[in-house]
Amino acid sequence: MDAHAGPREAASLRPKRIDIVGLPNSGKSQLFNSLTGAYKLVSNYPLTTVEVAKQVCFEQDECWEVADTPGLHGLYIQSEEEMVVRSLIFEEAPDLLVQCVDANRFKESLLLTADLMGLGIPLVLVLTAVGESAQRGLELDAEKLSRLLGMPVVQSPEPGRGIAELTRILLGPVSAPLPLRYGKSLDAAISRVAGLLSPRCPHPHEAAVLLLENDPSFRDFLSSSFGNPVREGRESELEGIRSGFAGKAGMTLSARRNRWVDEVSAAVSTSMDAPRPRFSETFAQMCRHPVYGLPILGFFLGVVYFMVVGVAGVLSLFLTTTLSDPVVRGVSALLPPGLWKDLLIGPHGLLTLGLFNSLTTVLPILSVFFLVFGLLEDIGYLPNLAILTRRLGAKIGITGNAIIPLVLGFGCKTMATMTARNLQSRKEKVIVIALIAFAIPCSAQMGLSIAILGQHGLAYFAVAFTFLVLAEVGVGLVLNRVLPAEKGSQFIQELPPIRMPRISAVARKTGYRLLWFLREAIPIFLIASLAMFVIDKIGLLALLKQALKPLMTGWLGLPLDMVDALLLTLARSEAAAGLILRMSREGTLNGVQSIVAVVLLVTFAQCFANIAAVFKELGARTAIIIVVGIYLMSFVLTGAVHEFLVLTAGVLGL
Amino acid sequence: MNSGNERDEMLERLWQLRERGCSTVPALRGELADRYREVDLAELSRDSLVVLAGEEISLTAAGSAHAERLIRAHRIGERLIHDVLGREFESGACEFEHILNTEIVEGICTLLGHPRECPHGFPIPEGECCRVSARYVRKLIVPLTELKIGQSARVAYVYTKSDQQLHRLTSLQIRPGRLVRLHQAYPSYVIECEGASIALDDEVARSINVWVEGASAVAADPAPTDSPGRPNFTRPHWRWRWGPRDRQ
Repeated sequence: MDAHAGPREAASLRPKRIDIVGLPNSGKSQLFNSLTGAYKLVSNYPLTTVEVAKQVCFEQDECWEVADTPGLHGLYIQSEEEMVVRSLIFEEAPDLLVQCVDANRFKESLLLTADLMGLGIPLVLVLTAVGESAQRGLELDAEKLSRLLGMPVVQSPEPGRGIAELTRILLGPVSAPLPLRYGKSLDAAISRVAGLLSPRCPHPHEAAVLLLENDPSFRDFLSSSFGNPVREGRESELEGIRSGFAGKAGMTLSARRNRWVDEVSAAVSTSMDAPRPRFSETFAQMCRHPVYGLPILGFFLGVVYFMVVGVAGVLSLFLTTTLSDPVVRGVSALLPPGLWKDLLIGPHGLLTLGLFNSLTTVLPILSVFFLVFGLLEDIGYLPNLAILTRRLGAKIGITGNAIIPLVLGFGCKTMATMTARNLQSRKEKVIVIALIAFAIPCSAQMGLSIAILGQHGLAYFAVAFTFLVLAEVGVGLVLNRVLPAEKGSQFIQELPPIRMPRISAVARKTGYRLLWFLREAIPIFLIASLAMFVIDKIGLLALLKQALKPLMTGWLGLPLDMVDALLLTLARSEAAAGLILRMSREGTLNGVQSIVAVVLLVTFAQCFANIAAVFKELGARTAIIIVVGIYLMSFVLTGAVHEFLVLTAGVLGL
Repeated sequence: MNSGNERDEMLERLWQLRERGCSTVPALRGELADRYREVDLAELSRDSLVVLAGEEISLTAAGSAHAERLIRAHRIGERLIHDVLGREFESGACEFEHILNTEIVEGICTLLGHPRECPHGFPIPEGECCRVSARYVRKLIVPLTELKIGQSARVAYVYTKSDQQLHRLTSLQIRPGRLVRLHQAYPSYVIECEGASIALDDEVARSINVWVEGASAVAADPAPTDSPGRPNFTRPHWRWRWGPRDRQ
């Protein structure tokens, strides 16, 4: 503690910085939410957090800046998001680290603890999922763990519990733990290397360990952030110490660490009787099974379909007839025909296309869909789905871990694109990001597409999504062929445990998602409808329609009014979807046209946030090629779908 | 310590220096420190086990063969201590090569499934047993891909060229001595290890070698060996249990 007193006092004006770290899917975001009172999406799968989130909060008379970080296995890093966390720890000098220790994966977590202990930063452990691991037959003695490691340990048996105790500990003084002892010869080597480091290099002990382990990225990181980490002219000494262990110091260090983990784990854990297979494990196995997995996927899709069409569709219709229709009638009766009436309730009216489109058409569907999707997220179903579809992925150039971002794309494309940064192969990254951007419907698009097609029947939904799947496979095959071959990544993926969904957490998550949607979308809906109104009044819309007529009515077989929807997708795809849903309800679009419209919607509508993410991950050149390619492909695909359906509608019975 | 041991030690160091590509007298002196004696080197040279050319030392064919035996025994010893006893391997093994004769080394090598690298990652020279290893003995250690669904086994070693993959597996606790259980083999391998379910592709699964418990029973059942990685539609191992969960 004393060693920290100096800098701490000097920096007393800055808030106390607390970083939450831990394995992927160990409950860091949950803890962040509970600790700060902020809300951040929480899911039961790895990679929910890919970027650092910070939040300032006040606790008694202290000001804290709490940071939530992506998952970390150890300071010898294995992926780019882990690099983010390590840079954070080394560059931003947190005052305190809070490690979420998933009791289910106790040894794996301890391995990270072993690394963190070397940093000389005060450390607090929070044991999460204790109840779950007890059910599996593993009991942990938190008090003994605390004594053994010399650091506070807080138990959090359920999400959100134990926060009061954690807050109390964080308010009081916490001392930095002693670094792990690696044995006489290695400890001597570590302190010799630490002695060679320049004074600018932070956390010299752990830095020395990482340099001995020869983490290839670490040296570069130190050089770029703090200048050459090794003192002038001492380079050869470092090499000398390294070669003293035949270049294999890393292996020996790792072996000692693992032994320590085993010893600690043996001392604090009691195994109870061999646990019997529980329903959740059985269910997880069935979800991944090549035969049983398909009906389960079908079942979940069925539930989503029924909820959106049967519940949300009806709800939306009800709101339209009881809320928006009377208002439109009222305004119509009050105002004389003319500019003001058109501005409010005309085809591009602020009320009709702006407010009611978002509130009564889109919102009910999104709320039901987000609720069901949130349940699936809380159960932990999606990564298991990735196992099921992995073989298909390999055929289109997606080997190994690349399947995960693709599946996550059904949640939010932007997040999925960001998780793709962990892929090592550039080729895979390009394919995955292009496929996510092209024809994978994000959750909002999925919900609205189901609502549009559900009015005509399940067959229409099936046909439209078959086309989307085929389009993805086709594009994947082509990209796989065209891009130069690269060695694919290996697939090593931790799967989250299947959990019973917690209704309150899912409801809260749905609530926040809807709130974010409304806050972001309503202004855009209003601005977009105003813009449409203006270009309609000045005659630009008519010109555009004239110009696009051959494309729209000829090649795509859609009514000319779909140009409105196409323009709305430039603002926000939900606005266009709302319009398409209304046109489909009013009978302006028939079943086949609805399929074409949905395929156009899913492929043409690019979300701005996602395009920004594509630029960030792939660089401007590739991103521009992808975005332009998608706009072109979208028209080609949609036209082809139209032609195909015209020829085969009779056969398909549509 | 008699001078035979000292000479053996020197031959071993020469082998190691040759692996690193710096077989010189100063390097040897640095390695042996106070155990270095001119007379030993002179004796080795006299018995034509090494050839001295200025500062350069090279092993002759006879010297090389002798050193290979020693190194093999040393590294097999390390593997034994590391894999089977799960102990510190550096201190004990350095005396192994002076105690073990070739037959015992062959026996341990066979028991361990003919490992190819010592715990430090250096190659273990092949012995006669590795070259003519009998099928039924090999089966003591098999790749993970040959386990049956629901079967548990202890990891013997992970053989992979990629450091990163080894590191990733180690951090997931998949390392020698750990108990793993195969849940599923298709479309991906799914294993349970230390409470976590981990999905692996075929290549990674094949790189993990496990001890088979009750090896004879497996040896009697030759079915899966010829088709590693083939789709395995075997029914997963599960039991339905209704009603409240009872914990004893």
